Amino acid sequence: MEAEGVVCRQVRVIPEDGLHLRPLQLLVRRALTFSSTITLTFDGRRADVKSAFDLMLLAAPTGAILNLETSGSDAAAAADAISELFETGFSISGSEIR
Amino acid sequence: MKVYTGIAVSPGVVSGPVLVLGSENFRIPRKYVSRDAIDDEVHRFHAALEHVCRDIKSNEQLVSAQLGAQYGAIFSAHLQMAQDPRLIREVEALIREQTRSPEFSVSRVLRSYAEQLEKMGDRYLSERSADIFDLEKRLLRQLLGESREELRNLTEPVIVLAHDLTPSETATLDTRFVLGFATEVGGRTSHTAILAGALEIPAIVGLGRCLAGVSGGETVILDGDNGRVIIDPDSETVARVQHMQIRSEKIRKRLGLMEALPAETLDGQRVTICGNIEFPEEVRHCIKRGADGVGLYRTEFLFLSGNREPSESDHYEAYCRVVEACGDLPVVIRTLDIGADKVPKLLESQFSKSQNPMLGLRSIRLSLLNTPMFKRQLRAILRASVHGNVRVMFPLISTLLEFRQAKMILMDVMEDLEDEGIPFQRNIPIGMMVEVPSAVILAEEFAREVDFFSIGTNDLIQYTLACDRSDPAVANLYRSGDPSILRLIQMVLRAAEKYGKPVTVCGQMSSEPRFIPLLLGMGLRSLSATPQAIPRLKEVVRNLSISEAVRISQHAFSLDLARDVEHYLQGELSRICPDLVDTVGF
Repeated sequence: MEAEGVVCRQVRVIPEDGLHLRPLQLLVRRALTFSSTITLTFDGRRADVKSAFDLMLLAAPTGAILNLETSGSDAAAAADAISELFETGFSISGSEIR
Repeated sequence: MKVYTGIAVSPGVVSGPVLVLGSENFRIPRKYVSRDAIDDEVHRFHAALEHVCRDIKSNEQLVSAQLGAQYGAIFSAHLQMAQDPRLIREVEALIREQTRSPEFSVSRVLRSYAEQLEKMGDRYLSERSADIFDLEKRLLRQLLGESREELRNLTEPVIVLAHDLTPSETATLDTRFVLGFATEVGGRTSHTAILAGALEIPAIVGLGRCLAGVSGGETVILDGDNGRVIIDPDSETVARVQHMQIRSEKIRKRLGLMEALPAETLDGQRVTICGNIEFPEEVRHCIKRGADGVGLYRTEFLFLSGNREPSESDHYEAYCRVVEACGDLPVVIRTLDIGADKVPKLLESQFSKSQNPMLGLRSIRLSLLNTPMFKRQLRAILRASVHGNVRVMFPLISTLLEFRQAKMILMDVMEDLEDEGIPFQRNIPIGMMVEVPSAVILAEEFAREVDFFSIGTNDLIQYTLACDRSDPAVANLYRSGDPSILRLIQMVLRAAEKYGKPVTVCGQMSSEPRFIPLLLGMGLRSLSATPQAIPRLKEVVRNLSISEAVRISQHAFSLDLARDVEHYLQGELSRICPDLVDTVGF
């Protein structure tokens, strides 16, 4: 379909508890809907956004700026979806939380 | 007879033979596997993982169907962990590169995550280590072919006494046979405790070491109301409990019918009966029993459950769950009421170490001294107020100045929210707890300034009669029927009536059926009680007329000893609802 792409962005952790359980679950759930590789880097640590354990151990506090990198056939859409989660402070509608 | 005390997390009293589950320490039989078996071992790991995922999914469906989606969500988090690519990669690497056994690898990898999370000192994440251990157990059980068969193939009623139960074990307890459970470890807000409440079986956690002295099969009484486990009770205790259970079972069936009926007296007076709750999950116990709302939502659990102060969003999320579940029904949110009996670690340094903590820095006094913390809570309450019918209530008010200060801080917060463009209910009703005799004496002055009163009888009795009810030497002074208490309640009712302000009684007293005729006779029309008591209270109300209630209260007021008042009220109750006597007050 589309050409392989790499997208880099920066996102900021808004929730006041940092990346705690709920944002983390939402991130993994959303990431799994894309085929691209999606990573977040913080303080020299790199996390696969499809791994809850990776994200937990990233230990990103409130206010932290993370580097988001997506690569693959749906890289642009994945970057949009993940940065949207961060921008809205993970306060997305009930249907998304399921 | 041995008695152990823990944290009561789900009410009810049951007795039966005990089933003991020790701490489940899996012995990992071998650390290494031979090099040519590596592919097979990796395959075995994947097979175990698949099995565990299937189990989790069926747990999720079962729990969602039986208890509601929010409980099922606990397991969707488990599933995400079980399918985690990092976990799979690291376990596979240990097997392939170091010829470690799958059992060893799973345990090693998961434990390293739990350890790292615990080190971070973040409550949210460190609580997850319990969920990680749950996953470890599930995987080891699959790999080792062991399981807690004890819990699966039950054929007769038991009371489970365990070192610990995982959330998944709790959720899948066969409640046809498991009458109740108690664990040595665990806290009030663990998933296990929350699930116990949702299953509505009596449960106690945090008993401390007690399994060593129990071999299994002994008779045990589990008193989920008071957090007590009685092992090998004497025959007198057994007889008392059994007799009570037979009766209460019969009554329980009949009371079930009360859930759908309104609390209306024989002569057509509607009485408001709300529920008291502590955890958001309990709101469904209120709704199920046809409560008219939540009359007292205690918010302490948010503070007691961790080593970190709750954030505004912790508060907000909890309140929204309650408010949304209630729809149009009122929810009275009481601000932090931390007392001497439950000091959270994180606030420990601020508490006075006085000899007399009940008279020290507690409750609203603490909130007024700690304005940032207080404001966070008020912001969350105000933000939640747009989702339903929310009222805010300040506890332990003893002077007008305190009430005014608290109200002023609330107004400040409203202004902040307005500046930020965040919606809230501007005319949210603001009330106070009447728990200190000074507040009763000045009830008229308070009535001009508050929107409603709620009488907290537990503290009111304690402060009026100057007795600590947890001290057995003076506990006999602590009596709801004391004539001084009746008069204080009457003073509040009169002052409130004069200024047209509503009054609710929300202490222990309003959960006891015998006091209902008295309170209605005095003019009270609103009660808030533990959810489990609501059907009983409805039954009393529906078998009573206001004129009879007035007669009962007049006679009670003519008696001058607590003992006589309570004896008289008990007699009247046995006339009105004979079945309810005996089951009360255990």
